Amino acid sequence: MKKQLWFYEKLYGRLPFLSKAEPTEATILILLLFEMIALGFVALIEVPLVAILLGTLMIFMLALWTEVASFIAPNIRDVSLPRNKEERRIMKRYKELLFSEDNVELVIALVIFMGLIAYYVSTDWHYFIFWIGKPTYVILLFGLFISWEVSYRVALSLWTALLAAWRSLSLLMISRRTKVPSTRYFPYKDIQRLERLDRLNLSFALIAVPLYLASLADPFLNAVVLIYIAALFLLYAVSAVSLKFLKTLPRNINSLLSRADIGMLGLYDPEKKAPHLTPVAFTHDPFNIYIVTSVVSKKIKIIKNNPRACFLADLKDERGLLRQEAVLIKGNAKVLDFLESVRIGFKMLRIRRMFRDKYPQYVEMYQKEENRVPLAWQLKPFISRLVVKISIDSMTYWDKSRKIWIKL
Amino acid sequence: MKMNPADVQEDLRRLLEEENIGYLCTSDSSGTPHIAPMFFYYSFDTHELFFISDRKTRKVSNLLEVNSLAFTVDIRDRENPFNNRGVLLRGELVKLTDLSMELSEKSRGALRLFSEKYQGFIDAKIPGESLIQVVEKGESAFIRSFQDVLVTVSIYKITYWKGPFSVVFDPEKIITPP
Repeated sequence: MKKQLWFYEKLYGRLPFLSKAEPTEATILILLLFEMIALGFVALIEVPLVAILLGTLMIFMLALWTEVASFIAPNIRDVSLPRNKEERRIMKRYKELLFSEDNVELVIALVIFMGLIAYYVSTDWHYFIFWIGKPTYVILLFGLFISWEVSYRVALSLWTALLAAWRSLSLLMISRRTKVPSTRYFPYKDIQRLERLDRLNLSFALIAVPLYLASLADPFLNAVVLIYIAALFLLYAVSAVSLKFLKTLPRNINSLLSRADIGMLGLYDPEKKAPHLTPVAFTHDPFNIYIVTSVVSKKIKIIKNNPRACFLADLKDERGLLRQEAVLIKGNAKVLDFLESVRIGFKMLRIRRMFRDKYPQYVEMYQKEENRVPLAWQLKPFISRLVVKISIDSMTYWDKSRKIWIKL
Repeated sequence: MKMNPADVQEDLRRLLEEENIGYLCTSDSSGTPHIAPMFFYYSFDTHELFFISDRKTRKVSNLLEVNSLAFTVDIRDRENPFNNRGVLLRGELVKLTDLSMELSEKSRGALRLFSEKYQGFIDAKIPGESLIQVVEKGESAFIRSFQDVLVTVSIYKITYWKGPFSVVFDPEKIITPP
């Protein structure tokens, strides 16, 4: 398949000194180039110090934007298409629109740019004169060039945010329409990835702060910048809220995970070249399974060497062997040690509370028997017990349809 | 609170003989583990573990990539964690026996013991003849598909735990019944 590119990616791909550079190197090169041109102008004509500083800030902003965009684009291209037919259609359309051959973002950029020029002309270049006095044609040209660069990035971020909001809403609507998901496999990682990309897109708004400063001199432009930032936040909020509702676990899996007291944690020890399997107490949220284990347990040692983990929760019912309900989860395990717990802060307290709520009888028992159990089993956070987080990459769910060979 | 060796032996035997479901953990060559609940039969004579699986499943393809496995059988107590107990077997794949082929006396013996253990479940499912009778006749009637294989695993290490206490030993140390 032909690689889909944004306009600026195509442009940079064609510039001889940029085409071979890594994205970050390209950004730095552009930054230096712009800055050199700008300083060249400064040497030629007298410019107020504040204008120089502001100009430099703007160039930094453009470089940062380029950097963010060059990170977002390949990541969105990498998001795999869902197996569900309708979801697949949405994601396909989303990618097509975002990286369309017609370069929609370029059209939006042109509209913004034209508007900007119209405004400059109608106000007799008041904005330019405010910062640098009577401009020469060369300075004007450079000013227009920077205006174009800003317009293009504003267009790109708005277009990306708009599409993201549309995509998340559509996905949410599909998931509401279909009853309990019939799919057996959920590529959870991709939702997380989309969330991260949305957040990254929001950083366009934060980077736009210099734009706000630069437009302070002109109330109209100032208002436009504020509207732009507000629009980005609004679109982000629509997408984020939709994804948040989307990522709730299917009801039947959520219920199974809540009812199952014990799960099985499978790991692979690369040192001994052998799998390891132990029953564990656990709690869960829509994206992770949490288990508690002893500091000295083999699990901790293995996870530090190989974080790949498999987790199975089922309801053991001796009478109903053929009616077993189970969920198999694959993902990566991470030990939430002291430093990590400080990093996630209140979330850690919430995880501990989840355990107390799910296993009140266990906690009580441990506390009562504290002096009888080895240190490794005493409920002392970080000293004897550690929480391990297993992030859910994919899930497989069986209910009553489990293949058991005995069925003749 | 020390564990009494005789109690351990007795409980271990009870777990492996009477529990119906065990959990099998295998891994592919990239180190990604996989878990599957299984019916199983443990032979205290040879310290071999037997189970039946479709040849096309992930567990069998994993075993062909990484031949070691972990197998856990446990009993859970909702109220008292000190009563949670179980056994973790570590072993290596010995062979896969194609069930659609002529079976050796040894494989047939293993199948017989296997079906004896699960007879209660199976009788209700098969009208007329019991599974054990079918096996006795030497027919491969309970093969669901021609893909099914009997997996033989030799166990080299056993961990038993009850509550916070655990003990590790060689399978040879299990006292064979009189």
